[in-house]
Amino acid sequence: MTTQSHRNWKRVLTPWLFIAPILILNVVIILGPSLASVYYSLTDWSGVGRPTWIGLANFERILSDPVYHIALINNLKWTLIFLTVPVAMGLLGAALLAPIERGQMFFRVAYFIPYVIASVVNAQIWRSLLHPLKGIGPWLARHGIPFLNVAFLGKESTALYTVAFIDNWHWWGFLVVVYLAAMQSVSISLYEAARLDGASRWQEFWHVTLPGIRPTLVFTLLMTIIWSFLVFDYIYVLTEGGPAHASEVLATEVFNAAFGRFEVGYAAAVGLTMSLFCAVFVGIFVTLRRRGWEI
Amino acid sequence: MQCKDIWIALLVTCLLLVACGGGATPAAPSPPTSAPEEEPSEAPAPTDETPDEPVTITWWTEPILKSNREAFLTHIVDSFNAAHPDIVLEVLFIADLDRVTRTAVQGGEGPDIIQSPGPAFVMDYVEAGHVLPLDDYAGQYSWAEAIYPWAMDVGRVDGTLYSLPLTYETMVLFYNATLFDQMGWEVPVTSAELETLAQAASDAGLLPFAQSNASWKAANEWFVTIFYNNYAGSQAVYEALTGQRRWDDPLFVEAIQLLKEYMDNGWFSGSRENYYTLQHADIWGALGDGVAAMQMTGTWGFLHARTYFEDTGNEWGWATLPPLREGAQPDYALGIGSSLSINAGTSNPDAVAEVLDWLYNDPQRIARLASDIGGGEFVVPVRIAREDFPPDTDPRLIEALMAFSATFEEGRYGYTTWTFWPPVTEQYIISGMEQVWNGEITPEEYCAEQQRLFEEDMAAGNVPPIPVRR
Repeated sequence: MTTQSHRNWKRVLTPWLFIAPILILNVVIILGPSLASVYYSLTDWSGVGRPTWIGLANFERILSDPVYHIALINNLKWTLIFLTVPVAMGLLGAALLAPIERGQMFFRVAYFIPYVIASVVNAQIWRSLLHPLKGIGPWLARHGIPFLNVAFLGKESTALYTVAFIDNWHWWGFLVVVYLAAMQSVSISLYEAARLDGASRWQEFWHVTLPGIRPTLVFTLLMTIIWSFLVFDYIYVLTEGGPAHASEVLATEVFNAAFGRFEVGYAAAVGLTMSLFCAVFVGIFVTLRRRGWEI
Repeated sequence: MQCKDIWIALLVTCLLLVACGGGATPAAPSPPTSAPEEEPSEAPAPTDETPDEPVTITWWTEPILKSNREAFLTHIVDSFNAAHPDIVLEVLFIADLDRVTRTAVQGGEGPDIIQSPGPAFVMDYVEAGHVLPLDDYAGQYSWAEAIYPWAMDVGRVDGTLYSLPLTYETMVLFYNATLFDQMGWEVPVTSAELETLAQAASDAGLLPFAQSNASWKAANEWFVTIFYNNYAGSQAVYEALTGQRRWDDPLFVEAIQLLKEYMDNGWFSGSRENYYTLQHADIWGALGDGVAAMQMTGTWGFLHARTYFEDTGNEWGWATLPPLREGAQPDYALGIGSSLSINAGTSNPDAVAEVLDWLYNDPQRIARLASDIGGGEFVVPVRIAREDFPPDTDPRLIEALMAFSATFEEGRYGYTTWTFWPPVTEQYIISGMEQVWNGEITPEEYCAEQQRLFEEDMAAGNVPPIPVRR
């Protein structure tokens, strides 16, 4: 019995010992500061000195802060864009690439390269391409094609969508590679059976491919939602949330509050709301899974 | 099985030790530097070194253009180290200096010399007890004899000296002198002349003012500074900063309305969209090439003028910004580029004070540095005579420094937003102005919101010391 108990104890303990290092790191680097953020969100703090307890005042301010509302709406727009455009492009690219045997690797690498380039570098490349005097638009205008001669990053109506376009350019190739890998795990016999039943390419895609890659697809959709609420780098590099908050998102507002206005407590509160939104979507996902949805 | 268990336990223990130990832990965090060619070095924590060993003093400062770094290191760092064998001054160039410094200082570390963006930013350190009073050192080194009184005044919090300006600056008008000669234009000295000239440049297909905020979003506040001081008048600004006048006073509202008109007329780089997208090199290049006529910017522009007019065949000039309203009486707006304080956590405050004294005790050294750098940075606020400058100094730089330093010493100055406004109000000045430009809010609403925020800041004690005008 003692030997059996010892074996059982080892079976339970051993996995925990293996994950202990990363768990400790996680607690120290992530959980600890996260809990500290909750505390600071309830204070008025400049980042230097001692914080002053103010309770829920920061959250009350969020409810009436017009910049926060603008940022939240922009995050929702960003989420909508990235749930559709790059996903559709990724699925299309992967579907077109899947049957290709010779040269497939070339396209996979070509689509993936923007993803591995640093965001700052990507942003600078596109800033140059979209330069209002020396970019593609003015060049085309000089050759009789004027409709792109627009300072896209400088117009309130186009700034957010232009940054989204640039971020999408870097992102969609990653989705192609991910979806392609998922598609290649779908059994060929399913496609053969579908063709025998007279299915078209589109019907094969809709009834065989998509269900076959559903777990991967749902995972990327979920991560897209989460990352959309955390988006920061491209927006900060290209527009810093301007002009006039036109491309402001919650993350840039957190940055401005913490390091521009030295309202670290308020920044922590805004950051917590970002976490809350992400938690809601994760919760929906988990709930649906538990209810038996095949996602 | 037992042997296997032992190996597993050993492996896990090693992983735990690696995770928890992390190798040699530096005494202070290594901040990122902006200069890739610089070898990353750690900022050493204050140590109790024996009297025989030199004391190391660390100073984190902003990145300097490579072309100016040698001058700074030669005139300041190397000369100090050569003259003080008992002290080693170590300088690190750090991007996002203020953010990195605040984080380090709050964590109990940070450099011995704390460099902050100005007096408004020092107040937080004072409140938290992170900086030392400097009055005793001021007496010991007789700083009041060398440093301008206003420079000492702006560093006082509740009457105690906590910081000294590292560089002071003001707003001026740069112009393409060659273009002006070709077009027969005169340097404007009134508001009407300035606007007439701007329209003439626009009609000629030129950019009246080469301005943008793409490289520095906070550039918006340069123009608010100019229009507040040069339209409403420096006295009105002083009164508002001290609570004697409201920011939604008609004078300020009209100033903002005029600034909006300048933008609506396309006088800032041709369009609002260009203003938001053209980079620093674009606007200075435009001015240097004669595509733009003028630029309203700070005296740090002397360095850029030198750079961007080189090899163009064009000459540049500078001028005092004219009053923007008949009857307005503006003075040069006083700006502090950055301030220096002694970290309360340093174990060598006397050595730090010696470094500070070195920065202010030799007018000729300061003049040489200003000449070499081009007047953009490290214009320390000490009395410099014309003859202190090296013979090869650009006379335009000398004239500018002599002009505004003289008026500052007389107690006649305006006020820059980044020096004298509290942080929250200042940030609204920057972001809110864009909403005025795009018509989202009116100048009245902008000024009213500024008044509301300023009242909150004032009640919280966040307004920095405002030097009295004479």
